[in-house]
Amino acid sequence: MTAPALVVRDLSVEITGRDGVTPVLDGVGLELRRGRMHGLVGETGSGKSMTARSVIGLLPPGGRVTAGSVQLGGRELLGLDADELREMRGASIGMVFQNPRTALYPMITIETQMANVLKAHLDLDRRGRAARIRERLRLVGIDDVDRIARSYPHELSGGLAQRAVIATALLCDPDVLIADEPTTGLDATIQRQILELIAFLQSELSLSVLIITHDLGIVAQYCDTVSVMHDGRVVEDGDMRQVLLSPQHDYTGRLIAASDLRGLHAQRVQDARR
Amino acid sequence: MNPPPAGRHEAAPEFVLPRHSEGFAKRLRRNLNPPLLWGAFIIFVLALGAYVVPAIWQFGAEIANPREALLPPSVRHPFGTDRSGFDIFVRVFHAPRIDLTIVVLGVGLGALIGIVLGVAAGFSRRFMGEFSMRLADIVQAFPLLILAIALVSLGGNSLTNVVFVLAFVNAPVFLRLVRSRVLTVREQRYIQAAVALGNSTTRLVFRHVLPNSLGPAVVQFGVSMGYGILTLAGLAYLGVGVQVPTPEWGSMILGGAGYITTGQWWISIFPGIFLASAVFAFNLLSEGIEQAREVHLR
Amino acid sequence: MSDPRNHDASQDTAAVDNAVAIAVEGLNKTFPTRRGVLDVVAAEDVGFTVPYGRTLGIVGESGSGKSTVARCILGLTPVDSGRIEVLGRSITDAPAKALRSWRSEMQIVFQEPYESLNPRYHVWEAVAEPLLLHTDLRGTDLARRVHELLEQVALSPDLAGRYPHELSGGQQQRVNIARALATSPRVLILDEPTASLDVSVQEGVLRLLLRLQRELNLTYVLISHDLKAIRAVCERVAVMYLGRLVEIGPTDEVLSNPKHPYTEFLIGAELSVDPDVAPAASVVRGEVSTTERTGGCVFTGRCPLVTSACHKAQPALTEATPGHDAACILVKSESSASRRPGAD
Repeated sequence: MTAPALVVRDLSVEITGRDGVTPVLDGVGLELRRGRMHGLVGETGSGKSMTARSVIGLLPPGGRVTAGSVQLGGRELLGLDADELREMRGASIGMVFQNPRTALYPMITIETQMANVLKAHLDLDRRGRAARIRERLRLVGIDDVDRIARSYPHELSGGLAQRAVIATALLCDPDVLIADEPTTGLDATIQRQILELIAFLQSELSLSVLIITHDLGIVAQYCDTVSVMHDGRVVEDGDMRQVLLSPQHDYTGRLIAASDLRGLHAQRVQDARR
Repeated sequence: MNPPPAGRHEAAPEFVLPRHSEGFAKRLRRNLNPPLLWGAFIIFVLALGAYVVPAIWQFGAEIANPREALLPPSVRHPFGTDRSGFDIFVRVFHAPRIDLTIVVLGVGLGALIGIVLGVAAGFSRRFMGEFSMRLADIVQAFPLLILAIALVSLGGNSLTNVVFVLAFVNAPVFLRLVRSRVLTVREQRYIQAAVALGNSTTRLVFRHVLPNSLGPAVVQFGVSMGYGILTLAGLAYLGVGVQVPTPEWGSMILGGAGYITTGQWWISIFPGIFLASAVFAFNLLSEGIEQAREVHLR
Repeated sequence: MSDPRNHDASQDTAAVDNAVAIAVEGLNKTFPTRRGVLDVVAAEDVGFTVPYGRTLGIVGESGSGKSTVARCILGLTPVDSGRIEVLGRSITDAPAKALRSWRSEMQIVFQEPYESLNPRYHVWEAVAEPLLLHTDLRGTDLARRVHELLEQVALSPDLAGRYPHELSGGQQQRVNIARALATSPRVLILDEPTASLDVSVQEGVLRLLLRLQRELNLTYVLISHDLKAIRAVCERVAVMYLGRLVEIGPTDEVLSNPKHPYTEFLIGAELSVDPDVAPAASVVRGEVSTTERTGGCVFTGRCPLVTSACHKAQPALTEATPGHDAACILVKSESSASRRPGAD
């Protein structure tokens, strides 16, 4: 078995704010295997987004990694300087965030922003860039690439905008894609489209995908492995089926039960019979 | 920043009490902040000095002594004297009586008019909104001083008219600020929720829209006070409003402006310092009030 | 406690006889767009009824008009045409003042728990406001009622002096619910009440709503995009697409045996937390376009089963099985046969 694409070990992060120092991550560890999809699941304040931000070196102001290591393909990321981090983001790791329309810069066209990313990371001439941008837009399932490339973010629907964000993330052939709540705020049918797209890209490009979500349904249907986070810790991780079908940790069990509201439904059906 | 005080229900009533059972003093302390305290302190000192200093000082504020004209600062005249032999020290302290009174009244009236029209304009987007905005455009299109002079010469050269002038030029500023804020606030979900709860329009405006729309206007109040004193000075220099020998910072600064080049710097500097500290104090005060108003939002 | 409804008991009795709490008929609402060329049709010929003490779910994606319908029911958004009756009173042509006094009996809980609360009102003031508006309760009586409401929604009275931003999302939503219940309304519109809450909090809030419904015999309209919530709470569900009601019927029946292709897609898009329950293999293409109106069925743009007949006219709601209607031309021709291979 090959080495994992991304390994996080014993990661601890604290944030210094007005109220003093708050620990937000406490010894978080996770392993993203090559060509797989790993779900990082948790509720508000569980630290799942903070983990992702630590990996890409984008902690909020006052945030500081106090211990641990983050290895991308065997290379230690913690301790890299700003330039090296910038190089790594985009080139080795692609990122997709919640709310695609705010992830895109509103004043310039899709093509211009994608070209800017290419300029920063790859040595391509103008024609090479245009060709690559169109190729990537086609890859994410956009048919009329020319029209979309010339569009401004606000002219795109949520689903199209998220496709454009994914295309941008994939411009430089990253090995790892980090998707932070990529479908939150999108309609159910669009959410399904985007998830199918990510799954398709994962197999097509042998991407390793770390998907951060609050939705266990996404984990159950798309992920190979999963880490469940609660209060800045990973409370349970492992093979997705194992974790979801026979959860060991109490919190995981409660999360699963709450997610499908089965208890409430059963109660309503029972009440109706009476 | 402000954790809600614990143990509000020591007496363990059988139900919750209407408001914080914390006392007034405690709530006040919660709302106090350094800018508020400093601003209020400086203004208090200036106001106090306006009555205490002239009462105990050996020279009168409006008594010229040509034999002691243009003297540099000394023990006898700490801030020196001007070309008419007025003692600058006592005049600088006396000035807030007229300066602060007129400016507080003028800007206050302007703010009141502006806020009322601003709420109306923000709420009834159509006629009222357009009409008052165009009116504000017209008022603001004129250079402030020229407008003020024109108004005072039309209405007569009295201090009351100076107050109206200040109100007139300031109202559009507040109108714009409040209107734009109201336009934002009225679209907020809690306003819709308030309608759904059955609030009448009047109550909606006064209990929900207005309190959430006043922030920028409160800050503007301090800024406008500062400008107001400067306007007053400009008017006095042009012979409008405050007349010699009534002590007033603006006219004192302008009266001494010509002497700076010939070495008599003290005539303008001391009133200038006082004017600047008054402006500063009003800015601090409004900033502090706004902070206190917002204390439960952070 | 004084009962704010005593004054028009006669009207109420009439309504109870019909056993219908909310009746909507032929509701139309169009929002003009800025350019004035393509208006957004938020509701077109929408009609349904909700019996007393029951819950109707309205499900749909953004742009389906489900929130507009909710607002129209309460008279918060004026309708273009149509008739809406709540508790036997016509909302659509009620004078503003009457509408305002009826608000004590019909309330709404919005999706955004924090944004729905005036940031300058602490919990106590927020919950007391409707009581000040609609009842004569003052002083100790008022305080007692507020306390009772906070207990009803399982909020600690210690939180009474807190401001909205000092509360968690779940607590904020409980304040909203307590406030909505303050004047003992009989109709409660729930506009995505749990959409922005964490799953464990969501369950708690839904459980609370169900308990309150049982205790207070409330009539609910639950607007949601989440089929799990709809399934858990609603006896009947209405599916909306681009302002049209495309399917309506008993929840379990509609969700297990959908008659409209759009409903089918919504169900197919649902992701079960059980890894063994796979979602539908087919994924609907395209997105909702609020400006796209062809004169035919609203779903033609995305429907995989579209035929030339679909472009001719918008099909009306047709009964597929008793109490279960769908607006699709395929319904009549194969009313009883299932045309969904392997979807159950």
